[in-house]
Amino acid sequence: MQSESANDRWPIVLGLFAAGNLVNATWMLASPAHWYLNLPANIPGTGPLNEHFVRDIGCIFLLLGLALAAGVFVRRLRLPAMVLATAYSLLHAFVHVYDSARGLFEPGHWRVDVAPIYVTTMLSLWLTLKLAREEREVDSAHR
Amino acid sequence: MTRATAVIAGAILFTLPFQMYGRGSSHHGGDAEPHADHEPRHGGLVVMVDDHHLEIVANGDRVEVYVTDALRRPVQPIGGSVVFDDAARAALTWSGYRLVANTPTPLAWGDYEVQLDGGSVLAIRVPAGK
Repeated sequence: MQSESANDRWPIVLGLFAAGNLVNATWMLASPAHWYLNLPANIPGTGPLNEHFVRDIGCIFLLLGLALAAGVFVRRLRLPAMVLATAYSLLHAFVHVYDSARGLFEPGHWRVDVAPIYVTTMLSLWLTLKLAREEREVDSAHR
Repeated sequence: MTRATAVIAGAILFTLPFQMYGRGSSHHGGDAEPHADHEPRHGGLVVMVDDHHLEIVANGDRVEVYVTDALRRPVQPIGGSVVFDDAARAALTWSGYRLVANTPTPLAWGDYEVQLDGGSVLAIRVPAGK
């Protein structure tokens, strides 16, 4: 019979999510210009580089990455970390919906956003809700 | 949740911070057709040279040159030079994310030469200030 911790896969999810945030944060903080030019994307298409803003946003990713990494080791921090990371992604997705609707993006741009932004954010939301449900069940079982 | 599901879900979430500012974040360009976008990104003058775009920005006592390809994706040149008003030559040096040269003032014309990795040279004569 496997122990509860052996069946606990959440450290894998949180660990990988943390790694993505920390790698991106390190890149943004260490070399904003390199990040601006080399992220496989068209960041310059959004306007000129503002190194200060890139580092500002890098700080957010750093905090999210640290929170998620802490959740790998401290069980009670998992849900707050996932909630924060998902909330940031969700708010960012809403900004894209709003900017697509008001015409800041070119017509049809929403299709480009579907996989990288909307679907991935929905996955993060689903995982957060699943984690919340499981944590609630664990709490109930321990009472 | 199985280990495989956790790894796949985690791997997708790993990409999320990059995807947020990836292809889906561009206002224009990137996935446009070649040469369909000549909009300045930095308030300068956009000119086409061969299959590339140069955006030339007069910024106080210096000029900045942003080099992009046909799809307006940034390109890092290896160097360049500019001759102002057929007289004063200045080196264009890479500074973070664009080429920069100090300028004498006032200016009328600039003859720009930008050397790309691979040996080709983009040369154009444009009004020096905008």
